[in-house]
Amino acid sequence: MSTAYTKEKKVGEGTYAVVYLGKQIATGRDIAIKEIKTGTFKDGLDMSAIREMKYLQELKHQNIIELVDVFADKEKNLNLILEFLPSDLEMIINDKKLMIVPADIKSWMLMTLRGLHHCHRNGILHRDLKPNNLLISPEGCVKIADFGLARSLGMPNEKLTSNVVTRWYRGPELLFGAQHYSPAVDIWAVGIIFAELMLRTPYLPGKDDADQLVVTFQALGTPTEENWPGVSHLPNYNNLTVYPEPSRQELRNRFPAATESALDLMCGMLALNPNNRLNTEACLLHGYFTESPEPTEPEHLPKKS
Amino acid sequence: MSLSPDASGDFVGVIQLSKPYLSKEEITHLFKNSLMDDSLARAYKVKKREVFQFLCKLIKVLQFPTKILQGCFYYYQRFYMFNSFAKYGNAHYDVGITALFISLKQNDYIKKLSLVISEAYKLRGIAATPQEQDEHRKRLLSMEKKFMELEAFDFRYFLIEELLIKYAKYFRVPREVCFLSWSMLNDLYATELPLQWPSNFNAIVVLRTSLLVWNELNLERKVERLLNEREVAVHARKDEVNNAVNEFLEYYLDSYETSFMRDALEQLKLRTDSKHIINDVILNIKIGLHQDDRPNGSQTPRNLDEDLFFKLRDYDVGKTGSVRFLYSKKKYLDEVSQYASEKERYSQQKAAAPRQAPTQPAWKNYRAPPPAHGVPNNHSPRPHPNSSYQSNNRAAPRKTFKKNYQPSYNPNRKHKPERPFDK
Repeated sequence: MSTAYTKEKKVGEGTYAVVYLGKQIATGRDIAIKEIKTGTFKDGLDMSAIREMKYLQELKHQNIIELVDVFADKEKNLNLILEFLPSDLEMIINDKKLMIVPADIKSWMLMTLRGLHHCHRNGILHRDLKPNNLLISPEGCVKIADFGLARSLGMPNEKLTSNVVTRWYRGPELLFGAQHYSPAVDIWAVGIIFAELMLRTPYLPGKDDADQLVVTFQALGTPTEENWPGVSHLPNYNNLTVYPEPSRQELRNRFPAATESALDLMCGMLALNPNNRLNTEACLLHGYFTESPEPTEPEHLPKKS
Repeated sequence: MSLSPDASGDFVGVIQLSKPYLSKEEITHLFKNSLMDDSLARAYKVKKREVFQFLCKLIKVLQFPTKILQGCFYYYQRFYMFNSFAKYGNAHYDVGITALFISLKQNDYIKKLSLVISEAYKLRGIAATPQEQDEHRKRLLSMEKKFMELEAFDFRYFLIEELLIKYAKYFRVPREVCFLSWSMLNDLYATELPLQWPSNFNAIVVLRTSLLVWNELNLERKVERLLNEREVAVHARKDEVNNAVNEFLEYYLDSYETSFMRDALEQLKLRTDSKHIINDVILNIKIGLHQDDRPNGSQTPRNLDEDLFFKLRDYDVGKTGSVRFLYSKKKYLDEVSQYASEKERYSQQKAAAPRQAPTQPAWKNYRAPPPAHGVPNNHSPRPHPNSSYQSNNRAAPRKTFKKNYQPSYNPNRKHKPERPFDK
């Protein structure tokens, strides 16, 4: 353990790392220590660890988790010192004692989109956005975390794996097994998170990959060659039941608290055809963020009780 | 790279700044340490060429794109810069395969190491049992750890190929020259230029060199394209670019026959005989570069021996403490300057009271004297608890400055402030 930090208690364990809470001795600042297991893998340092370090070394933004320090301890374990973020958006959504007002949702969406815009303008796809990975600082700021699945955009002809993003937040192009996709996959995930914040329950909870297709298209309509040219050539596009697109009134009924521009933004983020989906810039400039009510100041947002 | 104190005040930990690029002088110094004498230097050159050719074939067999070569050759050369060739010289194939494996990970190509090893065996015509292959895999994984530590776990990485394509599009370089430069880029990976310069600079060097070669070979179809590197935010001096082009051309004097440029010229149906290319084309370009060249400004030589970073790497150095990796030079210098003053103070106090063993390191009890009026206090041994981690006691960033700034005069204010003499 480095003398600059103390390691206090274990808070979690994943496939490639153990997370501890600790303090930076010099400043007394709370920190999280991600201890990466270097010796346990058949193929050396895990890809997720490499990705996480690579992108956090590059990205510095107030809505992205900060990589404070990196060190190897006596046992040659690699330790990532990350800023301490005590809660996440999933905890807030699930805490039924908390009252969430539309201004709070706007504030969380704004901070998420700002962080994501920073990733995308630097050519980085997150590929695992979900409420669980949107951490919240003690001051109420949302910070995008867990870059273990992230990757840079790369060349246009490069094949990417479609087995990314947690199922409920997976865009239709990924469900169809597309090997060429764009930052629009992250926008879809943010759109689903937006819906989840309004409903306070997961919007499209598929039981398995096949069910996810059904649940998604029941809610938003089945894509066809008319609204998404070329979709029928995607690998998993076969034997689909064609569901109609929901009418505006159906959406209003499903999201009774949403304003018209909130619905517009959500529909823009959940366009089935990724080419028609809004990008981060268009989302951030959307009328939803300038209409009343103003987004809540981060420090006044509801916090985990 | 520097030693840092632990809780007892002993300097057993290591603080290492990531340095992805080094100057020519630093590279020469490092190779002087690792290669030691001329015979080892010659052996290194021969083995490097042998391994690079092998890796090119391996990448072809495994159907990876040639851009993998960039990281692969970079890591190979960096390894022998910091490790004794006398010790690791016979493991050159292992070093090469490990460098390839790290480059694959770096570029998001997920392949099993065992697959890479078995293909490497096939290519070298070695028959090995699965057990031997597994032993080999373990050896390479321990080498991977060494590589990672050497590179300070710094995975920031920019592909020259992507920038080359962007610049070629931007400057509207003709298709044939683009092809030539794209092929020549694979030769550039084998030089020391990627160790010295970032990717944007190297992309310009390749484009410039390929244009010069093309124009020298096609006197009747010359491409008069002006590459203004400042337009693509490459702020390098003319002599720096010329020296890099010169160094790149130097590579062909030795290795033209096995180069990617030769294959590209053949595909472009241009003259490829080595006598003509070396004597008429490359030497002519080199002479032209010398005529344009401005003399380098005299630089005071640095004593690199004092810096731990420029010594052969000792992997046991952080065994009793920890190795911290930093990615910002400013942060590194701020921290190291603190350690230096702490160390000095600690040793002075120790010398003054040799019999009294301190229960706590002296630097822990140190309190900076109050600053003299008007003098900034930069002597605090630790950052102030309330100061931001990144700012390290320096002036607050501009954003905070703007927020806290209260102008004494505001032309838009409605009421003038009362001044004593107005009364």
